[in-house]
Amino acid sequence: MQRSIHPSRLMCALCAVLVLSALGCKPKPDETVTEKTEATDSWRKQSVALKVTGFSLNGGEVKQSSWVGSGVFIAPGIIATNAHVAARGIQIQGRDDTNRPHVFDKILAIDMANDLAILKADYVNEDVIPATLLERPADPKSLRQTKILAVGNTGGLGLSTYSGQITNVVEEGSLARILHDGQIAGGSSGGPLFKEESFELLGINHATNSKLNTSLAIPSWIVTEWLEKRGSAAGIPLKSAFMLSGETGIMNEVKRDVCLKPGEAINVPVTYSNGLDFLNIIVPKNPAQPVIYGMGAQTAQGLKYFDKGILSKQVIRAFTTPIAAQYVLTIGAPPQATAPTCVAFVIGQINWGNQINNK
Amino acid sequence: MKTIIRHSAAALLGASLIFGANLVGAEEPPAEQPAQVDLSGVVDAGALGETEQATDDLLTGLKVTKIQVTAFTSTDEHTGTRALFQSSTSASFEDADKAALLGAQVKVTPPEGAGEEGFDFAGSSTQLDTTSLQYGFALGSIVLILEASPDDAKATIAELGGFGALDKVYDPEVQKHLTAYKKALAEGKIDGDAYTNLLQSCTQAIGRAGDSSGERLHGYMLTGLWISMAAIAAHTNTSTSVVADTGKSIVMMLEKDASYGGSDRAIAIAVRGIVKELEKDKPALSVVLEKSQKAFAAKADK
Repeated sequence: MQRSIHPSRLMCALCAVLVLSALGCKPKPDETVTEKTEATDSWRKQSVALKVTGFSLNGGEVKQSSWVGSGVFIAPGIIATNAHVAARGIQIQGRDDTNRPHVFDKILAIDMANDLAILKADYVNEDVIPATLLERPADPKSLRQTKILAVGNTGGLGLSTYSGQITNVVEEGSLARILHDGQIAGGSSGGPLFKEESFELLGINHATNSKLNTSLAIPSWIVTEWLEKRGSAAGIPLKSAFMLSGETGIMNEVKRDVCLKPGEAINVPVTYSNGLDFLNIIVPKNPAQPVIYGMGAQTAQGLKYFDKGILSKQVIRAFTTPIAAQYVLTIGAPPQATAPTCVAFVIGQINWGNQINNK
Repeated sequence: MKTIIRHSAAALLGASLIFGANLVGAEEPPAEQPAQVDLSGVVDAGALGETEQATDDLLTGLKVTKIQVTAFTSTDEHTGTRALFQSSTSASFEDADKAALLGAQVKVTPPEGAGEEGFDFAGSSTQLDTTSLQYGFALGSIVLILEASPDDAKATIAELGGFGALDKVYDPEVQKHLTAYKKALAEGKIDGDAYTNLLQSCTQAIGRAGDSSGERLHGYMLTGLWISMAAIAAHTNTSTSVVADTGKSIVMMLEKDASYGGSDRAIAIAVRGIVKELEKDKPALSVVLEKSQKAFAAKADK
C-alpha cells in the first residue's frame, strides 16, 4: 500500500508546477490523490506492533510471561487493543510501521465482554494523527462488501497487511462484531481494520473462526463509546492495574454453601478457554474443621490436580488457564472428620474491568 | 505462554458463527529475551492464602457425592449462548425437521398441588421434577417452533403463560427470569437475555437450594432448558461445542450427585447421546429430538 516517488519524477513535477505558475496558470491540486497519499501513509504511524511483558496467575503466585499483539492510535497518545492483549500486562511497548517506538504505561479501560482495552502512552507524539473512527451507520449491515485493510503484528514479526471485505455485521444488544474475510493471523489481536478506500477505522481485530473461515472485529462505534467514557481519565499505571485485591471483580461465577459428610466431596466442572483468568474463593465455615481443596484439569489420563491443599481459613486461588480444557474444583471433607464439614465457595472468571473502569 | 488462544465460545456474536473461534493475538514473541519486570506488589499477597499440603491420594480417595453444574463459565460462553438463542430466529426448516420438531413437543401438565410437597426426597425424583424437565424444554424450544409453525407456537405460549402456580415452586431468581422470558414471548419477542439469565439462575438455584429436592427440581429444569438449547445448536450448527461441554457437566450431575436417583440414569443416557450428536461436524436436529424423547419418557421415582 505504500507509495514511492522517485526523486527525478518529483523534480519534474516541481518543474511543471513552476512553469505553469509562471504562465499564471495554477494547477488544480488533485485532492483525491493528496488525501489518499496522506491516509495511506498515516496508517503506518497509527498502527503499532505491541510486545507485552506481564504475568500469568498460578494459584498463590505469579509467573512472568511475554506475548505480542497489535494496537491502533484512536486519539493523541491513546491506543485501542484487545482486552486479552492488555490483561496482566505490566510493560507494553509498541513500534509503528516507521519503526518509531512507543511505550504504553497506563490503562484507561478494559471491556472483557467486548475484548477491548484502551491504553495511554507515556507521551503524546504530535506526529501521529490518530485514526478516524467510523460512526455507526443507521444500518450496520450496509457495510457488507466494504473493502478492508487489516493490519496486524503477525507472529511478532512487525506489521503485516491483509486485504478483504466485510461479509457481515452482527449485533446482539450492546455487543457487536464485524465479520470479514481478511486472513489475519496470530499476533494480529487488537490491530486495526481500516476501510481501504478512506482509511477510516472500521474496528479492532479480535478473533478468527476457523470453522467458518471468518475473521472478527469489534466495531469502531464500540471503541468510540469507550473513548468518550474514558478518554480523558488519568488511567491506572499498568503495574497496579491487574493487582488482585478486594476490588477484583468476578463474573459468570457460581457460588455454593455445602455441608459434606466425612470422606465426601463436591466437584465443580468448568470449561475454560486458554489465557482466561479465573479465581476460587473457599471459605471453611469452622476453622476447627478443615476442608480438602483441589483444582485439577481433565486430561487423557483422567483428572490431574495441579493445586491442592488442606484449608482451615479463607483462601483465594487465582489462575490463568494454560490450555483450553475442562477444569474441576474439588472440595472435600476429611475422612477422619467427626461431623459434617461445611464450606462456602465461589469460582468464576476474573473481571479486571471492576478495578480499572471507574478510576 | 500461548500460541493462538482458543476461545471456546464466542465473543463472536451472531447467528451463524460463535464457538470455536481463535483469538488472533497474544502470541509468544519470537526468540528474544523478555524484558525483566518487577512483579513485586503486583499481587496483593494478603489476598492469596497459604494452604497446607494435601496429596493426590487424599483427593482421589474422596467420594464425590455432589456436582455443581455451571451454565456459563466465561463471558464468551454467556455471549455465545445468548447469540445462539438469537440465531434461532434465522432458522429455516425442511419438512422432515419441522415434523420432527413438532412431534417432539411434550404436553406439560403440572402435577396437582405442585410445590406443596416440601419434603426432601433425597435421590428420588417426583412428578414435579419430570414436569420441570419438560417445562424447561417447552420454554426453550418454543423459539424454534415460532419459526417452524407460528400457530402452534402461539398456542404453546398461551398454555405456558397459564403456569403461574407452577412457577412459584422455583427459586425467586428463577421465577423472575421465567416471568421476563414468558412476558416477552407473549409479546411475540424472543428475549435472549432472559433465557440466558434463566439458565444461569437455575445453576445458581442448585447451589442455593440447601436440600436435595430443591437441587433436583432446578437440575431437571436446567436439563430441559439445555435439551432445547442443544436442539437449537444442532439445527443452526452453532455453538455446538460449548453446549456439549455443559451437557457433559449435566451428565456428571445426574450420575454422580446423590440428590439424583433412579430416573436420572435414563435422562443421563439421553443427554449423553445428545452430547455425542453435538460433537459431530454436522449434528442432526432429528437425532437430538429422538434422544430427547427418551429423557422425557423417564418416569418419576415417586
